[in-house]
This record gives sequence, structure tokens and C-alpha cells, in this order.
Amino acid sequence: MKKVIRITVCALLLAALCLSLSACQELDDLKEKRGVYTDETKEEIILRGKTYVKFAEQGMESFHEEAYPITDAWGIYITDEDVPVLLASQYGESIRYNVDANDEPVILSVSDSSPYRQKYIYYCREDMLDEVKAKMGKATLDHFYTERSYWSNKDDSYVYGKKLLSKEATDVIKKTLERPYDSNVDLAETADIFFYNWKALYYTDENLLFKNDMEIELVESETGAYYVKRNYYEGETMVDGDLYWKRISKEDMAVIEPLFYEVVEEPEMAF
Amino acid sequence: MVGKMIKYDFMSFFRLIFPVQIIIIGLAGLNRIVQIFETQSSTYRTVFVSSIVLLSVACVVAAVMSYVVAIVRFYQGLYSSEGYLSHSLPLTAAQHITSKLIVSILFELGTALAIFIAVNIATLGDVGVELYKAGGYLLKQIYGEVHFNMVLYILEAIIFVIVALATGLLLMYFCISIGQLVNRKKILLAFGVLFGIYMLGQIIGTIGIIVGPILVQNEAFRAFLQNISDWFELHVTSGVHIIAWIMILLQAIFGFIYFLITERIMTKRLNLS
Repeated sequence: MKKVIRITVCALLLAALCLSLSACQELDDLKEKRGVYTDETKEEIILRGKTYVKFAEQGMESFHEEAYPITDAWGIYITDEDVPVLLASQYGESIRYNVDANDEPVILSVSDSSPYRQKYIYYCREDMLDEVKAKMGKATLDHFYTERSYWSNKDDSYVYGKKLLSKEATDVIKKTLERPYDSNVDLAETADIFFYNWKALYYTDENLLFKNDMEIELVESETGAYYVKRNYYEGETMVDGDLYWKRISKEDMAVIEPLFYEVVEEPEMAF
Repeated sequence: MVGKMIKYDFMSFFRLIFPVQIIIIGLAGLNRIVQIFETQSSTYRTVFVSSIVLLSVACVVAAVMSYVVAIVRFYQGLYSSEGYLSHSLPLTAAQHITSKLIVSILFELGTALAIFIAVNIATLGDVGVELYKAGGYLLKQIYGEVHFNMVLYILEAIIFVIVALATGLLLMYFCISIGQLVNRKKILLAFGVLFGIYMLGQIIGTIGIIVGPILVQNEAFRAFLQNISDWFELHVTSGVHIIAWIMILLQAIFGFIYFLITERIMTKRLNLS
């Protein structure tokens, strides 16, 4: 019965939308944002006339150090072939992707959340497959990126995207994480201190193409000090990591401060 | 004779309603022509949105006008000076009411069909094809859930729409008939009766809202409701059929009551101006 009610609501919304969709441009936009599985195996997707081939899976069940593509844009739906384009958002899967300089999707990441098989499945555009595989095999994740909103001249609005940390900030974070824990320095104020500014950092390569499952937490305390900690995740649950926060040294605070307060320009394209 | 009466009523409705239906189809065609010149410019956007708004308003006006014409034709044909001619014909009051009702329903459905055609014209092309694909897909999904019951649901919906339409019109006929019982301010009394029926419905609804929670506190009543709820959970498709037919019957009962009273007034208490 719930399904029938859902279907009836979809039909009523469709009826209300039918006049506003008279213009073909809107329909063309919807077709641009909809991909189709070629068959039941879901090994290939057709999107904008191009074929995307499955090439990697990232399990959400346990911690991984391997490199996987970064996908941060959204707004595309993947459906079975028989689902009409007007119902793609109701019956399709919303996916993340990244684009090349021509705004064409290169990597698609589909979340497979069926029971006991929680993972991300990655598809790559056929003409870029060899290049992406080669880069993924050689990726060295020794940089950090953060996700934040920034002003986009192209969209003329604030959008959400990724930003590579500067070499100085990266070196400071690494240095702090790798030094041994020192209670005289690190515990000085973390017992009851209030952290009011928080940022997540992720490992990536120098071209912002790949990432892994590790997360670095960077926080600012109410006294203006900065602390950093590594977390390991199993699914959505943090299962391991550094037990304690490590404090950024006073000399290095000036390098970290802009991460929280600078105005970010539009980042470069990944491909 | 009833057939001739229906034909006469049909012609009088046709002269009033058909031009409006042609206009909305024409506006739909105009909207479709505007889309041929589709660009990204704000000028096109303004013109396109204006044509959509014009078409939407025209559809609403056509639907309202069909309803208003049906009521006005009933009043003019049977309770104004034209009534002297109508009631001199060899037709009973019931036949008069039925003739007016049938033609009114036909033209209401005709206006609905005209709006449907207008929408099809306005969405002619890729958009229309995708809309039908989406509709077909949803029907397929419903059929996958309820199978042959889908056909029955559609039939019940059609029957309910026609019965509700008839009951709505008969309510107006009822109000007009009550109104004509007085010598002055007949229309005002008719509105008053309509308002009174609406208020009565609201009062009954409010009493239900107040009494409902009190009744639910009674264990026997609660058990009874639980039994009904459990039965519906196990027999969802049958439950929907039962609810549909209860609604149809309720509408039919009210419609019949309005028809009877209108017929009695027209037969026994006719008061032409």
C-alpha cells in the first residue's frame, strides 16, 4: 500500500510538473543527468552517449590504505534501462562523480548499500580507463585535502569542493602526527578544553585524484591552539586511531590558521 | 421528449462552453509554437512563462465556467421566465432535472477532455513522449503491486468522479430550489442554504474531532477499531475497494436526497418569477 501511495504521489507531482516541462531544455538537462545500466550485471553504464566501465570497488567494511578516486560532484542519477528519465530521481541511485576540463564525467562512484555488501563501486569512462588505472597504481597519497565551500565564478554562487593543503601546512600536520606523544605538550589543556572549530583532512596525491579511508581531524580550541588526530574507520564507525590529540607547535600555528579563515579561490580541475 | 430536451439543453450549453474549449486548445497550440523558438534568452523565458500562465488560467476559467453555466442554465431554464415554457412541456420535474444533469455532466467531462487535449498539444514532442513513458511506468509499478485490482480501482475512480460531479450539481440545484421558495432575494437565500450546508458539515466534523478521542478511550471501541485496522492490514486491496464503494455510496445517497427534494419542490412548490 505504501508503494501505491508513493506511486500516486509521483503521478500527481508529474501532472503538476507537466506544463513547466514543456520546454525541451529542461528535458535535455534531465537527460544529461541520467545514466543507464546496460544490463542486470551492472558492469557498464551509458551516460551522455559514453560508456563507463566498472573498474574498482572500495569496501566500507574495514580500513583501507589503497588509493581510490575522489568523486565530489553530485546530481547524476543511474537507473535501470526501463525507468523513464522523468522518474530518474525517484527510482534511480544518486551518485557522485568528477569531471574533466570539458565538464564531462570521468569517474562515477555508486554506493552499493545492499546488506553485507556495503561498498562504493567505481566506473570510469572507457577512453580514460587505462590512464586512470595507471595513475591509481602509482598514486602516492602524501598530501592532504579538505572539503569546504568556496565561491565559484563559473556558477556565480558558493559551491562545495575540495582544496589541496599547501606544502607548509602538509609538512606541519605530518610532523605533528609522526612525533611521539608528549603529555607535557599535548595534554596541557585537552582534558576539559572546548573545541569550537573543526576540520576534516584526507590523504590524497598531488593532483587531487585519489584518496583513502584515513581521516585526520584538525581542531581549534577556545584558547586558539590547534590539535590534530588520525582516525581509522570501519564502515561509519571509528574503530582505531590515535588515542590522544597532538598539539601543533606555537611556531607552526600561523601556517594552520589560514585553513580555518582564508577565503578560498576556485580549485583546479582534477583531469 | 426527454431526448429532445437533452438536445435543446446540449445546444444551449454548446453555444456557451464550446468557444471556451476551443480557446484553451488554441492557447495550447500557441504555447507549442512559442517553444519552437526556444533559446536561453530572458525574452524567450518571459514569453514562454507568460504563455504557460495564460494557458493555466484559461484551463481553470474553463473548468469554473462549465460549472457556473450548468448552475445558471438550471436556474434560468426552470425557475426564471424561461421556466414558464419549460414547465409547459410534457415532462415531469424529474425528467427536467435529469436532462439538465446529464448535459451538465457531459460538458464538465467535455471541458476536462479539452484540457487534456490542450496539455497534450502543449507538450507535443519529446516532453509528451517522456510524460507518457513515465505514466506508463507508474501504472506498471502499480499493476505489479495490485495486479487486476488496478483496473477495478480505475473503474471505481471514474464512477466516483461521475457520482461526485452529479452530487455537486444536485447540491446546487437543491440550494436554488430552496431559494426559489421565497418571492424576494431568491439567489441570496440559495447562497444562504449552501453556506448553511457547509457550516453543518463543519460542525459535524468538529463534533467528530471532539468526540473521537473520547470514544477511543473506551476499551470496547478501541478493540473494535483495532480489529478493523488489523483486518485492513491483512486485506489491503479489498479494503481499498470497500472504502471506494462506501465513498461512492455516500455521494450517491446525498445526491439522491438532493434530487428528491429538488423534484418535490419543483412539483409541489414551484414559484416562478
